[in-house]
Amino acid sequence: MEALQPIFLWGLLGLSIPVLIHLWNGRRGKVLDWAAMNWLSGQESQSSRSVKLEQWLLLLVRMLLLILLVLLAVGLWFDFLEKSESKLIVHLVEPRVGVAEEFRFELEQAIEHGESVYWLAEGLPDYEAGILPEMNSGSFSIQQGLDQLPINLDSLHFYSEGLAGNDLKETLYVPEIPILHLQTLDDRSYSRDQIELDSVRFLSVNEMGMLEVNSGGESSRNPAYSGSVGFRFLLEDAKKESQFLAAFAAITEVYGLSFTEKSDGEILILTDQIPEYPEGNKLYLVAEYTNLILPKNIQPIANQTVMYWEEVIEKGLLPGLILEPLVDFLGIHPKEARLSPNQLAQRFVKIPESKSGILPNTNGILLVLFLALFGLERYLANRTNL
Amino acid sequence: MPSNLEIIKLNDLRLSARLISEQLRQGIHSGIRVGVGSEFEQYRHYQPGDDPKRIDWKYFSRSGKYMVKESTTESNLHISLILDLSGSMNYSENGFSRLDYAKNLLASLAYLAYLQGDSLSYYTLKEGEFTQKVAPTPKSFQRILYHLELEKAAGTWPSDRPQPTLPIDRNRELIVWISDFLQKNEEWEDLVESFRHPRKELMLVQLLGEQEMDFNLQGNLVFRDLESGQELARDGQVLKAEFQKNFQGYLNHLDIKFQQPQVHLLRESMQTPLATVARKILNLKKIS
Repeated sequence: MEALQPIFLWGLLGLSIPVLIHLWNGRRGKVLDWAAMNWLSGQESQSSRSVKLEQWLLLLVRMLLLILLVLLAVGLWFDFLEKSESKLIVHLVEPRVGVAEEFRFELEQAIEHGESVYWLAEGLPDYEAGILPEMNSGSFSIQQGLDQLPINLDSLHFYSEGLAGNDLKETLYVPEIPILHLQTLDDRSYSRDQIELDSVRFLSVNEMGMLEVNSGGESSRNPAYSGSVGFRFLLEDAKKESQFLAAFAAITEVYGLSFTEKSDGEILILTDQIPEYPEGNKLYLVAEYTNLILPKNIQPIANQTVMYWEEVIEKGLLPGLILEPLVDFLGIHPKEARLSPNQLAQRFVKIPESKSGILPNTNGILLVLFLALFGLERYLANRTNL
Repeated sequence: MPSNLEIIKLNDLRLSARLISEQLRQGIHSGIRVGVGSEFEQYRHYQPGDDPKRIDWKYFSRSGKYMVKESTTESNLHISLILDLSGSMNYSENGFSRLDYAKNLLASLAYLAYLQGDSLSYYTLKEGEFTQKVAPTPKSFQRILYHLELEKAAGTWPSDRPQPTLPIDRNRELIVWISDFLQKNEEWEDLVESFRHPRKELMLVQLLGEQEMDFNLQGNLVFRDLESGQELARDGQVLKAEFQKNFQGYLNHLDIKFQQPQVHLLRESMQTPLATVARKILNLKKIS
């Protein structure tokens, strides 16, 4: 049972009014021993007690009428009056081999129980073990898939890789907060490219996604980049130049990556203005904050942190801010960050349910009851002249 | 002058009878009337108009004066006191009941009669039946007081009982009848009718409460019948107009019914001072 407009339940307070009036009228008066009884009007053959009982009955009926009116306004929703249509349990699977492999057992169980299992892809295709749906990359977002779900779900299971990339950055609106199943096995290949620092030292990403200096491995024959990084200043502020140089020195000290200033053939350009005609094969690091949408190779340094330039310098963040886009540009991609189950759960927001759209299914019953009681009330009232 | 409540609360009929009769005798000479009698009281000079038979000729022979012999008149009046003991006599107002009032009134009347030397008898009327409690004897005043103190009012007038009668003799008699005269049917009228006799004077004292006469009741009230115990819950204000009309109609009806020779109806509120009522009774009576 569910009240659709519970605020109208306050109307039940109105019940106290007839009771109070009744009690006020029915309170026992002062008993007066009276001799001249014959001359009091209203020679009643009925004893006063039976009158009171009848009045109580009438009061009860009238109060029930009021209750019914209130309930009609409240709009009761009885679940048992609805045909028991089994609610859907939906499993959404991200179309990734790893996910499908890891949760293969659960998904098969779900299919066995007759629950719906869909790929989270365009048109929500039915899940089949081992067959990934065709991916028209780009046109499909997770939200689109979620929008196709029916509204009254019993529960929603969400199987995901849990990577920050795949559309999971935004808030997702779901009819039911999903139960999350995150992939735990990590078989993703990370970039094994290396940067040759000198003949014995290589810079690469390890399994944890961290940069490290090692002595090279199988792929050391084909380094993504070798030697020192050529750079050029396009700065108006000479103070920043020294700050950049200091940052370079720090990078060199930790990772061994050396920088040389070049006037030609450089790959890194440090500037404080957004270049008007940027060259595609060069990385521009802009020492200014900007909210323009820029090509990938133009990176405003201060945008990564929400700080002023001075603050960035003061806190010594500049080397990291340089190294990150630089390494990426040179061809070493760190691992995509995984979302924790908590983070992922925060992405989902339940679509607020509007109850005014649901019509109470008890109206018919209540109306019939109301009419019957009303008839009874009229009958009693006429009989007792009240 | 003590109030009714004070007198009644004394709870001593002997004392209250004295108190009331003292109020009556204020400013009056000793109430002994002089006239023809057996016991000598005094001589007085003959005055024209006196019966010459009354001149004491023996005295004339001794003194040569026309003197008339006087003696206290002897009362040969018999007084019957009748007290109604139906349940409605229990109606009380301002701290005392109609029965208390009636007892005190009867006690003082009996005391006055006793002083006067009248013979007294006392009857009660309960559940439609007369009972003679006290026969006329020299000690009857004391016995009346004794019985009065013990009386309790209860019951109602049974509708199926035949009309009670009192043995009626031919003697002159003053019958003082104290009741509320609230009848269901016509029992009081019939009874009074049966008492009528040329040599008997009926003094009907109808005691009514203030509320019975004016009906100034307000609010939610439960009227409980003193005789049957039946209850009636009503609002006082609503009842007022109709009750007043009905009751006044009934009183007028009684007035007409009792407007007969030798019958006096004295309607008094229970708040009227007892002495006033007693005086009214004495003034109303014609028989002596």
